[in-house]
Amino acid sequence: MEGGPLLQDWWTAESKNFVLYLNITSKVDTHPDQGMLQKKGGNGFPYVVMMDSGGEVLTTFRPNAATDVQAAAAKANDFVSARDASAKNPKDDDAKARYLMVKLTMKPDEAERKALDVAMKGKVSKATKEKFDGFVAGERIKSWEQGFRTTMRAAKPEEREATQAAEAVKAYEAWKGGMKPPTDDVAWLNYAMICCGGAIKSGDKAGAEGIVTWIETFSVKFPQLKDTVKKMREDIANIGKTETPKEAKEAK
Amino acid sequence: MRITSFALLMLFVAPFLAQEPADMETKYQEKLKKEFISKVPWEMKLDDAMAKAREQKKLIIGYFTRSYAP
Repeated sequence: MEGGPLLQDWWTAESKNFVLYLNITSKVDTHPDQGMLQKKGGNGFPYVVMMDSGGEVLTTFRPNAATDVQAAAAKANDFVSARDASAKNPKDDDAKARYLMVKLTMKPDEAERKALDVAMKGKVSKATKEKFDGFVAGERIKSWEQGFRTTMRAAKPEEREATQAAEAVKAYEAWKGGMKPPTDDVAWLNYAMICCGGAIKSGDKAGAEGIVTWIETFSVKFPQLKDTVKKMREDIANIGKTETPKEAKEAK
Repeated sequence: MRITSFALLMLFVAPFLAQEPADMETKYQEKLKKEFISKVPWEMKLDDAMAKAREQKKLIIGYFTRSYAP
């Protein structure tokens, strides 16, 4: 980081929009702000955060490109404006719900999750309801991912491929039932890739193509995805054929 | 067996135990000379960064690094 991105011109230009705070853990007590890393939730180096003017950590990120800084700033600004709006109107359920959703996305908290349900029962706008639906879908995906990991860990090595395929088909069914990524966020990429595999396995060309198109949008930022997308498209093209190229190869 | 384990442990731990405060200070001063630090204006105290952020109505980017080890 220090020998790469932080020496580049985009960083010099982009960083002008922020106040920059440098903390160096030196193990010399007389140096400024020793121990601040732990106070701000860090446990490794480098640790990069976006904070408000009160020193509250709003998000963590890796500044590898200008877009990373911009995305972190957008996230932080969303948090600040939702928090301020809620503080200004404490009785406004809509503002409270929006604030809690942003906050819970950053850090899960059981009591605040319950408070969100209470706020959602109050007077909230259609847009907030839609946002809430997306939030719930995100929660379901995260919970599914947890279950998926547990299932895969429990599977015997010789059963893994079949287990993953079966789980992928189930995930795709859930996708069709509305469990779709609520935002164009890379956090949902793994889930989308598994669902795409499920759609292919289910023989659903249109469904698989729809998911691949969504996945493909990330290949600008992650060029290595292009090969995966290409492979998925080949598999989609083979849907309906009597045997997949892999099966044909195995038959030989 | 115990002696071997102790020797192995010391092999990894000794370089850190050997770091005197003066070494730490030297490493800190060397870190301050790094190009990434001189390239942009950093605040070294969070209180100062917060005051500046309030005044300029900006967010703070906090970069946490270390000087005692590479």
